[in-house]
Amino acid sequence: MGLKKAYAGETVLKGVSLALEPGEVVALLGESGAGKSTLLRLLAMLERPDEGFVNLDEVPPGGVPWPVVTMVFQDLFLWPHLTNRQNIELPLKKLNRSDREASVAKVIEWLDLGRFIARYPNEVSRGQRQAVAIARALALSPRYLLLDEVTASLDVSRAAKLALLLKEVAAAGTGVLIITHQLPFARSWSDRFVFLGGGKVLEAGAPSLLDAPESPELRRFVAALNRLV
Amino acid sequence: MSTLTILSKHSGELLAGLLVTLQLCAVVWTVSLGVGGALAVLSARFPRAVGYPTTIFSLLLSGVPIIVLLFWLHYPAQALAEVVVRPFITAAVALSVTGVFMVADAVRAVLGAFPSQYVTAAKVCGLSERQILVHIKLPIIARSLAPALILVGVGLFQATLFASFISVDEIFRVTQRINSVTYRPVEAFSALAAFCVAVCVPFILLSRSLARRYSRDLSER
Repeated sequence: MGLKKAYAGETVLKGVSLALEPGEVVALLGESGAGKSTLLRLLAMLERPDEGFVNLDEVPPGGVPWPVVTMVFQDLFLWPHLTNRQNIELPLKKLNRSDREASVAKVIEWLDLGRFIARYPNEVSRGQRQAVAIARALALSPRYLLLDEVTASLDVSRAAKLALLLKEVAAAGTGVLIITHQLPFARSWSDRFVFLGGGKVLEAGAPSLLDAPESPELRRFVAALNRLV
Repeated sequence: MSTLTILSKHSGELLAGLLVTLQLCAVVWTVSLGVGGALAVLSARFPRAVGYPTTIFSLLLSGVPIIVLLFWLHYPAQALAEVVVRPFITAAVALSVTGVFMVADAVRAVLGAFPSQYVTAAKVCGLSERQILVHIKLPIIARSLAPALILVGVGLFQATLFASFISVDEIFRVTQRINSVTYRPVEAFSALAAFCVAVCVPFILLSRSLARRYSRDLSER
């Protein structure tokens, strides 16, 4: 609520309010530098806002918010000394062996990771690494899942699979907030969108509104993306 | 008289010299790793109080040849302090001081270059501080550090040969003595070189192999 954040005197967020409900998929849109990634880091409680607050219903004040909320970063940050399987398994260490194996097997099947699960992250393509990073987050069964540009390097079939998967995950009660520049993804798979510009929410609503944007900024943004398609 | 003849005829002296060299190495490596590692961690934790003074001292020390430090500690320092210290101890101190800062520099470089994003990723996955240390930080740091530390160890082993100049009976001094008796410098020093190659090359190869294995190209494909 009312999130403000500045870095080195430059204000990145100027009072952003956003509610993410369990069970919905929200697409976060905006030009580069609009403050999308900063907003995600604040929502993931990796940084404190200068003003405003982030409230997670399931976490008491001062409690550890992870992995109730978890995040997949644009740069993925898979641990390079572990295989793809170990990357998914490590955060599940507190589960007993059978639960852990079941969780890993489920995400491997969901995201079709079988062919490269035993390899190291640097031995597979970026798209495959993205799939592993998403699998690592999904295996944690988070209540809120924040995804920073994870569709960028996925091939068409894996992106479609991911979209279906996110709908499934949301249906199971997870709130999904995804930064994407893929308009078809936002139109077809999100329950609503939020358009960020100049550190503020400029427009938000049902994906159908993307066909007739009200603000000139969103109109320009949509037109530019449409030209790319 | 061939190199092999020298090796067999003087094996007792050579082994005694080797023993002194290995003892010196053991002391120097242990102190360097322990104190150097601790100094690097403290430098990272307290940059002002420990980090900057360590960096300055390390810079100054890197400009002083080991043999100068060795001679300075052996002659003027002891004369000024009016003490007489066994050459072995003087050599151990001089080489340890050098080793401590070599190790500290290597460890500090690795700690400074550690990608904190891996820790952030671990945090959002719900890993505890201890799990992050054990499963993420230490393995990544150890993999980056091992090749550099092995090379520091090899460098320190080679530097122990300077201890002969202050009368430590290590292997180089023993070889010089054998040469002065046999008058066969080629064979005597070839034997020493063969010994040094046998000790150093496997470690150098190990360091290269670890560097190749653990410094994997993480760029996108």
